[in-house]
Amino acid sequence: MGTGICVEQVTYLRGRDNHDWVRDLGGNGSEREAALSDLRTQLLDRLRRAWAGNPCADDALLEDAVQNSLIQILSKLGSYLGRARFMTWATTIAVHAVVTEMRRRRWSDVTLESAIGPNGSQYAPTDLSLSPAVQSARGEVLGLLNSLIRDELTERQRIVLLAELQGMPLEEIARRLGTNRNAIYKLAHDARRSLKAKLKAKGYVADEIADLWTNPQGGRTQ
Amino acid sequence: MTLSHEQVRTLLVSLRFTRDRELTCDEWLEDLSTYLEATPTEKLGETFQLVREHLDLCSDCREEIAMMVMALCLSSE
Repeated sequence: MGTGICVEQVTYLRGRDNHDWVRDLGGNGSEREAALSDLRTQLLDRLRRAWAGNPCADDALLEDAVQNSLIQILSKLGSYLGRARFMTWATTIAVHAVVTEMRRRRWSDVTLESAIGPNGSQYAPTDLSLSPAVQSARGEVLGLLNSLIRDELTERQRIVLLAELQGMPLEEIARRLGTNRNAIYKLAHDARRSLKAKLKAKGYVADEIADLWTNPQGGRTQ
Repeated sequence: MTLSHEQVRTLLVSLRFTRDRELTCDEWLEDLSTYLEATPTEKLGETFQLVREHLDLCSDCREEIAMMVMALCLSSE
C-alpha cells in the first residue's frame, strides 16, 4: 500500500543537498522537471529580494535572467565540483546574469568612441590646493603617463584602458570589440603591466606615484 | 578625452595592484562560490589571495560580489 507521498514531494520537504541537485538536474523526466522548477523558484526569490526596490531590475528582467541562468547551470553542471553549496554556486551564476543584463541596458546607447573621446588621453589640471612641490610631481607623472598611454600601448590596449577608466564594464567593451570579457581583461592586464614596467624603467615606482594621489597630505598647503 | 582627478587616481592605484599573475573575471567567478562560503579567516588566507587581488582591481566584480552577498544573505533570512 502506498504512502500517498511521491519522491518529488519527499525531496521538496527535506530539501535537496548538493548531490540531489546534480543528480536530479542531470537526469531526465519528472525529477529533472521538478528540480528545474524548484531551482527557478529559489533563484527568482533570491534575485527579487536582492534587487527589491530597484526600478531598473523589473520582474521581466529577473525572470529572463533566471531562465538564462538555468541554461548556463545545466551546461556547466559537470564543472560544479561541490566545493560550495549548490545553491550558492547557482546564485553566483544568476546574479552575474542580472548584472550583465543591467549593464547592457545602461550602456546600450554609448559607443566606445563617445566613451573614450576623440583626442586620446589628456589630463585634468592638478588640485590647486596642493603644495607646488606635489603639483609639480603630479604634473611630471601625468605627462609621462600621457605619453606612455599614447606611444607605448597598442591601439586595443589603449581603447580598453581608457574605456575602463570611463567606467564602461568589461563585458560591454568586449561586446563592442567583438570579443569576450576574458580577452578584454587580458588586454587591460597587459596594458597595466606595460605601463608599470615602463614607469619603472624610467625610475618611477607605482606605489610611490600612487601615493601622490592617495596620500598627498604632506604636500598640502596650510 | 580628459581624465578626471579620480580616474588618474584609479589608474595609479590599479598599477599599484597589478601583478604578473591575475585572475580574469571568469576565473574569479569560478572561485567565487567557495570564497563566499569561506570563514573570514579563510578568506584572508593564501588560498584566496588571487580572488582578493582581483577584487582590488576590478570594479565590475566588486559590484557583482556586493549583489551576491545580498542575494545570499537575504535568502537565508
